[in-house]
Amino acid sequence: MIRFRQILWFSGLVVVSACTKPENRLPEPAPEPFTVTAPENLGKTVPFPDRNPFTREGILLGRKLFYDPTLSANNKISCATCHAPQKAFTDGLALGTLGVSGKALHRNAPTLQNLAWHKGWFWDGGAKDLESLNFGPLKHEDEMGQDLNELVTELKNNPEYAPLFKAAFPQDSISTITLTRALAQFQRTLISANSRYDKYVRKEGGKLDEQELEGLTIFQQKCSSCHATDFFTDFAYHNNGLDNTFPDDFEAVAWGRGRISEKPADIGKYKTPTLRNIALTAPYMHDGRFKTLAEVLEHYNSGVKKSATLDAELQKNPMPGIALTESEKTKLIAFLNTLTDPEFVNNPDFLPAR
Amino acid sequence: MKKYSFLLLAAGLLLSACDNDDDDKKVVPEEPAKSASVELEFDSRFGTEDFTRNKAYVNQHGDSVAVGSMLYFVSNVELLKADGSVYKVPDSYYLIENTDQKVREKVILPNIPAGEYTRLRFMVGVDSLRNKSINNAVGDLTISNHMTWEWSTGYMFLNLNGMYYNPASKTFEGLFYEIGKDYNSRTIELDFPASTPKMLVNPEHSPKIHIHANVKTIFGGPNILDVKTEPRIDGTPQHAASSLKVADNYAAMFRIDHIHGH
Repeated sequence: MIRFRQILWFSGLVVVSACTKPENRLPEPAPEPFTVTAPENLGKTVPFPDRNPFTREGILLGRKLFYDPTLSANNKISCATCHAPQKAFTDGLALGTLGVSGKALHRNAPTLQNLAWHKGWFWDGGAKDLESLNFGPLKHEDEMGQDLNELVTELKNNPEYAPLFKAAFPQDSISTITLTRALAQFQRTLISANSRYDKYVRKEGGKLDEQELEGLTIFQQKCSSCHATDFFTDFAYHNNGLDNTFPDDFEAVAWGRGRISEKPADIGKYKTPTLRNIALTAPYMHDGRFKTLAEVLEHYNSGVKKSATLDAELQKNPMPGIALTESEKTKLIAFLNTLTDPEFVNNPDFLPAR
Repeated sequence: MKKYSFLLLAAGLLLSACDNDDDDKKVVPEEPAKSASVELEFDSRFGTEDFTRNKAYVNQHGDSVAVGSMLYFVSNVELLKADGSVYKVPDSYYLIENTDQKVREKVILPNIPAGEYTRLRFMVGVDSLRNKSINNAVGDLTISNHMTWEWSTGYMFLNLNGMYYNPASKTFEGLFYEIGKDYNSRTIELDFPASTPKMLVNPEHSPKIHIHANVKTIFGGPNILDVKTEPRIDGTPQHAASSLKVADNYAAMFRIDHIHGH
């Protein structure tokens, strides 16, 4: 009896274990889905492409890659070299010279904030998604100058990265695809929405003084048609009268949006930059020609040049531009300074892991 | 005996439980796979000659040109039957390469359903859906380091590099065509010629389709190009009109020469 029971028990165990083996197999470690949210004045939800959803592991890998100089040809330049967090992810230069060649670039390094909402990336919107954009600075001979095949080999040979890629993309190997997807996930988390202005509009205890409030009123009257919504950009392309000639040398880089759309009506237009953290992102414009906000405002007041594609908003007065008194300029600058977001530039999630 | 039967019953239950678990994986005798692979060969030619890299040929404009490397995308391959039905080869994005480093002019279309086909359709270039991003994980779109634009997201459909003879300087000078943008993709339709064996696919019959890709036509199909006045045509807006001419030319560069029956 005992013997039979033992056999039964034993055979049952064997059969059961054979049966359940497939289900007991350890599941593939799956990355943890992660919902990135924004405050209500930015609409709460953060857009992302279907094929690259946020995961905790993907974002962390992207952050590590963002700060890793081995991404460049000479292993000295990381994304953060020209997109430094303290400067709201800019380089403080008119035309950057920090790339592997040391040669000046043709456009000002743009700030990296609230990128997820853009409709086109780069000053002219030439990049159609962040995943595609990343290959630009990686490959450009005057930026990171990297051969992508070599980079993939380097990452595969780096024992630190194997588990991180595996955790973020368990189905895929280390490749240009997964590299740029991780970077893009991190870049989409770079959300600035906690300036004093934000805390004022969300009634979270932020206070604007009288001068700043007057600046806000002037801003709403004179600037917000392009620097629209709490993104402080309409994500569209405008000619704001910086130039009235648009030479076609350097592959027509001066054509701005027209270089991408190939439409004459877009020549000389650039994407409206956000004004968030504007006090940290000097110099200004697509070529960094203005060193201070006072210079920028003076441009709108007296420096706007007429051309075929000049924005209609800048042609409402007999003299093109936006008439601003000294007092109005002072108040506008006071208001613009309330858009600085210390929590954004000091967010440990956006800084290198310690 | 009772005890034994109990044991058998128990084992039987457990076994049947096992069977249920395995239902998904149970091998159901399938009908024989009625498909086979088909090979497409894009054999580079220059006019009536075999194409040789870096060899100087005279083009339709009378200029001497030597092509050192040529890469282009063939995508969205479809096989059509006489009744109008179409088989789309899934994820068919092939980079055809003829460079000093690599020659790859043959592609295998796997699992083509058995049947007799009368026409071949394919795109030179990449469809607008995939051309919206250069972060695609299908076919050869992933390995196209030399076939992408980052400044204006998209693939180069044709990347041709070479030299042309400049009588003014009496030297060979650089020539390149980098053609992309949605408006430059071209869909090619070719009838399988009546004179060759039928384009018949079945498990015993994996045809090889031998296509002549005439490099000379790139310089002078419907549009005869003057390499001396425009030796570089790329994706920048000044070259948009010329890129259309090149695209209309490469649309005319293919013909099916013959089909190997097996």
